[in-house]
Amino acid sequence: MSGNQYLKDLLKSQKLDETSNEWKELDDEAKKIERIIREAYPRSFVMFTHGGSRAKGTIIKEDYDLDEVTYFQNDDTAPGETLEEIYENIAKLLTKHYNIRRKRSALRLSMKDGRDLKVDVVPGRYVDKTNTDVFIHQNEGDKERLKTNIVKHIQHVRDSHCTDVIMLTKLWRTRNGIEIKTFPLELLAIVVLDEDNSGTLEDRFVRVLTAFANEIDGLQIEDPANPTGNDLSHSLTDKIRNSLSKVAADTLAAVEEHGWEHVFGKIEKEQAPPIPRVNILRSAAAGIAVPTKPWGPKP
Amino acid sequence: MNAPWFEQQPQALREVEATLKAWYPTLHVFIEEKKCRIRGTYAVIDGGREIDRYKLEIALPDDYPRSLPRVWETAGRIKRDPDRHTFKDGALCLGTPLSLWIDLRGDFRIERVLEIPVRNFLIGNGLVELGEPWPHKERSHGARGLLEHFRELFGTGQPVMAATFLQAMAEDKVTKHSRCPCGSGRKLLKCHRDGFDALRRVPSYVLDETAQLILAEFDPRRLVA
Repeated sequence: MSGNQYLKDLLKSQKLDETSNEWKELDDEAKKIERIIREAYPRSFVMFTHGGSRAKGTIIKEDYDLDEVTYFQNDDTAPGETLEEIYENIAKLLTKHYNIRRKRSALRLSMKDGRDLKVDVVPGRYVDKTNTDVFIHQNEGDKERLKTNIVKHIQHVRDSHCTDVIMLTKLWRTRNGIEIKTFPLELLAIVVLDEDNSGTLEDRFVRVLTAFANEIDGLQIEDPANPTGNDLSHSLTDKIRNSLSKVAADTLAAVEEHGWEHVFGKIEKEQAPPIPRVNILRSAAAGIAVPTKPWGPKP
Repeated sequence: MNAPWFEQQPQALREVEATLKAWYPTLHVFIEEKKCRIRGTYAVIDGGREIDRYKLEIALPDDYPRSLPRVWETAGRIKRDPDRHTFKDGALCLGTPLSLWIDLRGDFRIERVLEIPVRNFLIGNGLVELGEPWPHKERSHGARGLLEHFRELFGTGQPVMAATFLQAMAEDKVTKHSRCPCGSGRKLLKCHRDGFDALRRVPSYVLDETAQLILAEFDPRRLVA
């Protein structure tokens, strides 16, 4: 099998279709969140949109979540006078139903038993009556307020003609544990392919990895919704650039020597019926040649 | 201060890199502040098939490969809790220092560490997540766990006896003609010889450290009384 065909099959295996259980679970949770917020603010006109990779068409099975964007009208003070108040009030409201982890601008939800729901709620308020640009609260960084536009973000990625390469790049990021957030990674891939998006899927993915390996310091990204006002440097620190460069160089070297399957593994076909996970692990444990027992210091 | 091992022996670092490239292509070496760290994800393979994957960070020790690297799970999947066998800083407690030294025969090269204690731990953790017990059991916390291991080797877990014997081994005062610590009255040669042979290869500092950990938890005066 050619490298290009392998990558195509890999991409196919990572597609999350709309009838999947994962997709349905996200939808059900989103509806529940919307209901909670609407009931708490019955007089508010709240705009709920799905942001993130799902809306951009870059969702992958192995690493997905849902951005539940929750925007209030620009003159609506019911959820709070300030952006911070809106953020905190939504957090307080959702705390009754979920565990909340405060991220830079989003609220990460998990069930009370700790199970991650893969849902980020992003509260914000429209800048004006045109209901286009939005202000969101920021917990970190110099600015407490960030102007952004989710529609522009989605369009920028969705219309980039490289969502396939972006999906592979995200999978590569996840498989290699690189600590870069999705949006800056998407922007980096787009910047690289903006110059030359020709060739096969393999050619284009290799182009992205080669740029990461050799020219990472020269790659600059900007927020398409707010090029001058949203400083993305925090999401592309020297440490992150170094990781991208090192891992890309390692990946290219491994692929050259052993091929793509060596890096991304065998593409598993769906088993019917699937073997229960506990049986798989029990079988692996039974085959251990040198058993070791975990220990621990005195608590 | 001496140069770190990877500067003194660049060939050893190249070997680590080559091993990762050949067998663990999603783990990568990073040299930061004179320390060698490995980051990425580790695929748990069984029967040629990936059955699980963990995000890990591994700190290779200054005397690599002569002592055990520290290993962290970094995606928040393993709760930082002694009952999940993690140290306070979140590093995985893969086993007692003495038992790991014996099991790995003092060879802590990255591939051996990944394929023996790390893989075992992660398979076990997967089962624990599903409500199953650790497949090869787990050791008690602290000195009790050390004594459980000593009992496996010599048939006794008496703290003072174990600590005294380990210290004597560390000081090279025990031979195969010494009395067995199990209390049988027989010579080691004709009693728990396998235990003696296993400890004979262990460096003094590991034996002494184990003895000290036991003594720190068990007050000999109280136990004798």
